[in-house]
Amino acid sequence: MSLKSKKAIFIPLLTVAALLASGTTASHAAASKGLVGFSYPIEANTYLKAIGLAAEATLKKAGYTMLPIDAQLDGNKQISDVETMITKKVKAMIIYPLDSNGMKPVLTKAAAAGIKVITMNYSVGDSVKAPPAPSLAQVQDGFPQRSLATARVAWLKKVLPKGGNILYVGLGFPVAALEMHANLFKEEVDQDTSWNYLGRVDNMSDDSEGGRKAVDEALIKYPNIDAIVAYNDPTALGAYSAVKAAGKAGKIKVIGLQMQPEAVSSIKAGQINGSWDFNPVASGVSLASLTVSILKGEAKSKWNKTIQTPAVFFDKTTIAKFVPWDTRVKGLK
Amino acid sequence: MTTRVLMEGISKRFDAVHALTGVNLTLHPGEVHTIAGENGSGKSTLLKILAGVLKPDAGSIAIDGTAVEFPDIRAAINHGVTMVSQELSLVPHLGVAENVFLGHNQTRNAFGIDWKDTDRRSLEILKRLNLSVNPRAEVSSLPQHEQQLVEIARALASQTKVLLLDEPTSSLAPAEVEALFNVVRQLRDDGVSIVMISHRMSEMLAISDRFTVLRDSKFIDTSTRNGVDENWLIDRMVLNKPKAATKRVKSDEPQRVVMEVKSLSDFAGSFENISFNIHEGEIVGLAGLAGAGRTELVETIVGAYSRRSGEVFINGKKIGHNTRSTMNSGIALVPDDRRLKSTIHEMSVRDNLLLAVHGRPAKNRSRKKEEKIVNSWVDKFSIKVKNLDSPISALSGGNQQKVVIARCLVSKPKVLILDEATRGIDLGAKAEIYEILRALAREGLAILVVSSEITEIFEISDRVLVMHAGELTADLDRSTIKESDVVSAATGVLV
Amino acid sequence: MKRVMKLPTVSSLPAWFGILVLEIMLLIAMAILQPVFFSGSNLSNIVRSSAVPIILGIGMTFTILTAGIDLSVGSVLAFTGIVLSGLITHMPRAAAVIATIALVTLIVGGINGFLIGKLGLNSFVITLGSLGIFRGISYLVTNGTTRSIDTGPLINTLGDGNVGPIPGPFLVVIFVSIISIYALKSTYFGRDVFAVGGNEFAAKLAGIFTSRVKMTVYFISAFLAALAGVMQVGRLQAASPTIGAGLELTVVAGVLLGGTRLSGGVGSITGTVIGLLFLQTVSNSLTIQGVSSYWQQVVTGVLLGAAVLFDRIRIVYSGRSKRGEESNVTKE
Repeated sequence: MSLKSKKAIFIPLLTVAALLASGTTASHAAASKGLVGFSYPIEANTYLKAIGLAAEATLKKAGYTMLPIDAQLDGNKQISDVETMITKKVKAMIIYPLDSNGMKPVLTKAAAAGIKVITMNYSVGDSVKAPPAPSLAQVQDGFPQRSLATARVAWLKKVLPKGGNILYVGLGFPVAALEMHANLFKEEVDQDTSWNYLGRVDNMSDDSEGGRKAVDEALIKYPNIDAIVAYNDPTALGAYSAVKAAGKAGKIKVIGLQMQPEAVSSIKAGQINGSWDFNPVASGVSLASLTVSILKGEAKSKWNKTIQTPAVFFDKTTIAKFVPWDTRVKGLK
Repeated sequence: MTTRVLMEGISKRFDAVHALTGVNLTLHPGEVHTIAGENGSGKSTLLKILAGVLKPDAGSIAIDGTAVEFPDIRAAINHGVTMVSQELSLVPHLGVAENVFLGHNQTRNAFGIDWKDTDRRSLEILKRLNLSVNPRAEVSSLPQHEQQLVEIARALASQTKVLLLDEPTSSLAPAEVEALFNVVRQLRDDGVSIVMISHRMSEMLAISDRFTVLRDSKFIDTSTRNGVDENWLIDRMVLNKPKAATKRVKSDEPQRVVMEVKSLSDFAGSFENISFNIHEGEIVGLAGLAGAGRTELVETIVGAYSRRSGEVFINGKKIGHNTRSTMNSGIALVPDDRRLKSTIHEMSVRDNLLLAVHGRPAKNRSRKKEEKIVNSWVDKFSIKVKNLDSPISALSGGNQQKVVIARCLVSKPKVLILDEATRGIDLGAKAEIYEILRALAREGLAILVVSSEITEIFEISDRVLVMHAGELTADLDRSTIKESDVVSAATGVLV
Repeated sequence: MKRVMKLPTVSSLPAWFGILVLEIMLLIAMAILQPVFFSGSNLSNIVRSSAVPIILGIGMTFTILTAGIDLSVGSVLAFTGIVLSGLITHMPRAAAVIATIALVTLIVGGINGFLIGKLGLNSFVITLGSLGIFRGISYLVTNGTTRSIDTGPLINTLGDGNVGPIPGPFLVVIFVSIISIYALKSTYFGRDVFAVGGNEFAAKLAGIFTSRVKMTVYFISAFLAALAGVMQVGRLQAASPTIGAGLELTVVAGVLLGGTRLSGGVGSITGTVIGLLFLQTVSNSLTIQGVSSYWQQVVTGVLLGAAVLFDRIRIVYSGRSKRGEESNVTKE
């Protein structure tokens, strides 16, 4: 046992050292008005991270400390994260749920414990009404909004006035908001007979490689695509590289969503034809402001609603006006 | 005398190969019956059929006069037939008692398995075999011969009437063989029929009451012990008797030292402070009991295991500590367990032979040259192989071993070490390998032969080293050493 | 004559002792750093979020003990919820639960068990296939959406509620653990599982019907995955087709940490429970401590590597095990 036990001591020491070396939030909490939890579906996503950073900056100005926890795309972990926030006695929590139905019980529990629950894309009906309980206030980005779907179709009409064949690239993993947008988009396309909704292919890995693969296959299946509409920018970039590899660059229009940093350079270079800035910074600010409003005890009408962050279109002609997200976050501080 | 087991007209085919053709076997209660035959004669197959492991294509089995059929092993066990096969079939991490009662024989009460009683019953059985060990001990922690006794205990636990032993002594030292034979005699006296397969002539003659000889899948002859001697067996087992060994002529001039081992010790403590020399053209035998540390010693010499202290010199030059450098310095090892350590089973015969060459850069290799090399060795060693591309596992044990030896010789070593070179190999092939080694020694190769068979050591060595518990206890010239000296040295008496 | 010295021998402590020590040290460290870690609600959180992985882990222990593996458990978790959501509208809830568990056990256990046990196909490949099949079916039937379920008291208690002061899922874990420990230690079937994994040929030779044993462990794994699926519905109050994706790897990690060997024949239920609790404790402590999730992944990976390294050191040094060293297998 002696040889084994000597080495056995190192590991717990290592763990404790790691714990100590890492930041602790406990000490900060004491100096502020309280903790506000922020539950990321996945932190390693520039769009979601921008929302979080914006929220954090806004909360800080109002005197609150944000406690971010990353669910790493695991529904069970997100439940556990909410329980942790309850244990840590946060005053409020901002959450972008991976699975709205599945999160309901634990969010109800949090609300029952007196924690204010503010959500992002919790319900995906296109409406500014108050969100369903236990969420007290909500922010929606472009995905659930019909206006975004119409805007995309309108843009297509502008660049391809004679109509054409459209391919939609979605995510291979069901997320309510994304599915909502895909359905809205299809409905809008079907309204006009000069457009032909060819079909939908899925990006299985939520990155540009997955987008590339999906479109490679689609180009073989549908030889006459005129436009490819992707659910986000990394996918659009992948789609573009597939189009280029097939020698059809310029002949097929490609558009994305969200306006991630990778997309900016691509638009500037005239590769993908455009994207919509989902303005995560605005969403983050809205989430935080709603939270502060509730915590201050303001009138219900001020916060019991859904704020829809409008999406703004950018293409090569307007890209110069685009302000990168981190610049906007810095501006908040 | 009553017949306990009657097997008649047993035939078995594996694809195109006839393993058994119309073989008969009669077993009486209270007898030790040896089935003799070369590799490939069908002995193992016959046993496996009786044990219920294989089903015969034709023929019948009757036990105590009643015809029986064994659809599975359990049926054979239920009829009192149990087999202890060559590869020990114990579950390594389970305890002794549990292995003895493997297969739903552990004691059971209302609450489930009663371990205490199971342990107690196992001790009773082990006592009959003169084995005292903690019933909860992990079976893999026991030495080989004790593990074998545990397997026999399992056969006893199922109240075996017919005990089949397939090569039970191949990894046992003389003293352990004797202990096993005492057990076998005792069981025989208790009325058990015991069938044995062995390649060791002296053992077969020492223990058996009756013999049955198979050759080339056919039944050749059966007899009681009277009138059976080595020649009787050999005449029936092989069509061509092995040539009489050419006498070793030793020159009187002092020969050059090719390999010198100086104060070698390993980390695991298997051997300590070993020193000896091997000369050009000399065959040195290394004897000792299992566990004496001989395999560990030779594997450390070639660099497969780390050494704690000491050096090895080839032609006066110190050699490195890893297998690549020792190979380059001119040492080659034929390891003790062919299946585990040498042959790459699915690889072709040709590739197995050329394995050592594969390490060299491709541009230095020529297909034609390699073909020549392979063919010359196949020729030189009379390796019986139909197709050089078929997997090496298709060859008989003896021929596989010849391929492994050839592989070592391709790189033209200065020292050849063989660990249990003829284990599990039939008489004819054994004699051929001895001739090969003698021829190599005449050409000047220095050879070290590790063996647990004293007859083999005496057959082939010029000088005999003996190890006991990690130390060298004898280093004597073959002409002056007696068999009893080797046995004493192996048990720790300095000679 | 001097006897050659041998190295120190294998510890006769059970394989999971090291992990238990780590767990206790971690608890002590957290008690000092973050008192809130030791609050009733947090400890309850740890227990409740490890319940589903532990139930899956117990099933996994059975399959790994036979030198196999069941990678489909995460998908079966989701699949169970979907089946339950379909049945619960047609019959009383308790009946729906029983029917669901029975159906899933028969279907999943039947497929895996037949292909692996009877036909002898590779368990890694087959259960990888089942992983895809049942996840795909879950997506297809629900079109990717989560279905709310009116669960009622039974399912809620199993999944998340309390029986008096004790969390329901904790009781389920205790109950299943006790039965499994008993089965492995005191029934012929249990010993057969160890025998088949330890040396399949020896087991056959001893008259054990190895294919039946192998089939049975996949039924057990499916049954426990179905039970966990019901508990999961209790936790979500919904059937989610996406839940449990990737969970099988975490479960395997926990099982291995607990001392069960991938090569089969050695392992314990207790080790699995401790191993999975440990993983959950690490995750929870790092979150409470406020460590960024990127660091969490590094730390978890390092701990896993260290635990496996330990076991390797232990096995290598035990190569010269002392004669008569007691077997760990009968100790749970």
